[in-house]
Amino acid sequence: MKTRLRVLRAELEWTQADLAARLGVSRQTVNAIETGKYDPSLPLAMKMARLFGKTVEEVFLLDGGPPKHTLPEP
Amino acid sequence: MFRPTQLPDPNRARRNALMVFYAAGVMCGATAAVAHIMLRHGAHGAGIGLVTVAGLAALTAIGGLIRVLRTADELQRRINHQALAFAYVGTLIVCLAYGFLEQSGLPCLSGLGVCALLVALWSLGLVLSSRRYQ
Repeated sequence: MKTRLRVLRAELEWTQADLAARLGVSRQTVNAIETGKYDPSLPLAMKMARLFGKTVEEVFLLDGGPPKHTLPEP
Repeated sequence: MFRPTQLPDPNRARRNALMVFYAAGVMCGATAAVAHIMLRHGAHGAGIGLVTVAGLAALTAIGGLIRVLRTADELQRRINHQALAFAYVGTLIVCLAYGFLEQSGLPCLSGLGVCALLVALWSLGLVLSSRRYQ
């Protein structure tokens, strides 16, 4: 999974430690997510998205792009 | 402007719990060793008192370890989980292998060696697992 976390963080001029403190996680966790070595849980991903005022899809990108087949609109 | 110093440090509770765990662990080992010596030399009253202290220290260490895991974030929990699995499987394999080798003539070792091996493999597992996410 790819992430725009580093870009979003840089826009706000936050360090990894700043973001980690805001999220209540360690700096190692933020670094591992940014480098793509660790995929966060859904609650943490939603917390990150909310922190930047974005949706989860705007912060995290699934490898291979969007799904080819989606459910029809109700 | 964002000021991280205004927010609580999430690692402080974890560090405190780790200090409790290490201090209680060392105290447990030390008092148990002294109690063993006293009981061997016939000082039963003091020996039993120290065994009680060692037991309380062991309970404190267990409580500290549980608190360490509770205050850890999700990546730290994963690292610890992988390290514990590594230590468990490693100790199982080494003990099983050595058990068979003892029957072939190797010296019979103390059961305390299993504890030492478990702690050593757990520490090694923490280092190896941490490096994967750096």
